[in-house]
Amino acid sequence: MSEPRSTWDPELLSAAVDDELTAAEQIALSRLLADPEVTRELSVLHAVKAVSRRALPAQAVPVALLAKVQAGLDAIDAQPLQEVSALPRRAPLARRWKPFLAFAAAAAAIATFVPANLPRHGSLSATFSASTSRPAPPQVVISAASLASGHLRWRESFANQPGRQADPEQLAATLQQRVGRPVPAPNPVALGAQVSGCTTCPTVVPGQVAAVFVMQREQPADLTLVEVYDPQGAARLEGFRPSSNPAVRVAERDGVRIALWSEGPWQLSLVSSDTPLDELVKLSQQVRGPGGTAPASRSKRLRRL
Amino acid sequence: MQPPATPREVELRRAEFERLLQPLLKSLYNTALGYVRNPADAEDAVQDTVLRAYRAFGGFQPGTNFKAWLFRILTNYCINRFRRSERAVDAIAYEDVEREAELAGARLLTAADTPEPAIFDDLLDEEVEAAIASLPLEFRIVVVLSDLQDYTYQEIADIAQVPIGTVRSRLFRGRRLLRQALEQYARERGYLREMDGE
Repeated sequence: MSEPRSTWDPELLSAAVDDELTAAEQIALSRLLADPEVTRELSVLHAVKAVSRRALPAQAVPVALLAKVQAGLDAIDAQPLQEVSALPRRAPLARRWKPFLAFAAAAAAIATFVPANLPRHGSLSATFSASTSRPAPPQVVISAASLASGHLRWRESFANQPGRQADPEQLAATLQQRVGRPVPAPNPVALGAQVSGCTTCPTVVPGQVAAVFVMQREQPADLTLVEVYDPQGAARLEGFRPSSNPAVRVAERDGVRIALWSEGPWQLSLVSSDTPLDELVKLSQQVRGPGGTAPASRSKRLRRL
Repeated sequence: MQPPATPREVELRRAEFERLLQPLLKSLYNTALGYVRNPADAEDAVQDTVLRAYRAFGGFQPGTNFKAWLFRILTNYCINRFRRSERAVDAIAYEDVEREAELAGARLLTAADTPEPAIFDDLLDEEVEAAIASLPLEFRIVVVLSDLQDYTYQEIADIAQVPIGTVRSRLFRGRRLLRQALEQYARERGYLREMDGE
């Protein structure tokens, strides 16, 4: 073995390979390079780097990976726009829980509104749109209710996939679970419509706006819905604007709105999220009439439309 | 960047994210391959990284270093995912590395320490690949980022979230280990023995 010839900082050579030396270090290195052993050591480090690059050449990204990434991004886009994490950390507890409680009330209202004898439909094929011209304020949190209630899964599973059919049994089971008691004869259209309401949740201001739809429809077909009413009465309906559509009737009491929308074969109801259930039922009857149908005069008018 | 509130904003966020991601995806995948070697693990790492980044994209500050942010997510994922399983295997070796590295600064250079650079040229890619994979993850990360991906020390420091001095030190130690592993292969093939006898 040869005798030691010199001492030096090995990190200096390593950094020299990467051209990451300071000016002072470059000067020091230039002096060291007078030693052939240092020159040789530096060459070895360059060789190690070069052989590493040769052994692991750049690979193309697998197409399957690209597809998986795209699918993952799509799935994220399908989630409620405002998630639980968007909640203000220091929001009052009652405010943070309000959406959850509000949704429970709305779900209970649905169970009440859906008559047991509604005609059954095998499926609902729907195209949903939740776009709005007015961005919601950052503190919007209703989608947290969607997330907590399990509606997120529904939305992911079909509401954002146009043409995909809802599973009425699944919807009914989930709704029953959320309501906490048996749901009257599950009507896939009504339940599907409720899910479509979830797609609008990100635009809902907690405590101000109706949150849930009850809808009947004679024939499954594509539809583009839905936004919700705000306290000022302005509707955020994508594709349908109640202000210009006489088919929409709105009952109002103390800021609570229930809309009955009947155009052709289908109806739409909105219920306030923070209204006692019995009050909602009363208001509903005012609009729909006893037995869940619209008043006769109104029905005639609607039929003409 | 605020979380999107409308579908239109979602579209814009998606477009912006993909615009930033696209030129980095190949490098991200190859970095993952360098970290974990196994293509399936690399794919999982990239997929998880991209989706994590997208979920957190609302908190990303426009104008800041997206690349460093993205690769930091990948690096943290790989550290959390693979280091625990590696520790059981490498615990002793890693301690040896630390001890060896402490001594290295005062080490005296001998002719026998420095083989001919040409000996590495004949090594098989699989051998080099295995040598890289044998590095402890902390060293492998900086070696991959520097030697394979050409990141600067500052960029590596941002990604690995360590000081530049640590990057430099880890690079030196990692290369030293890598070199030892390569020399071992060279000895097994008879290249280094011939040189030692000179």
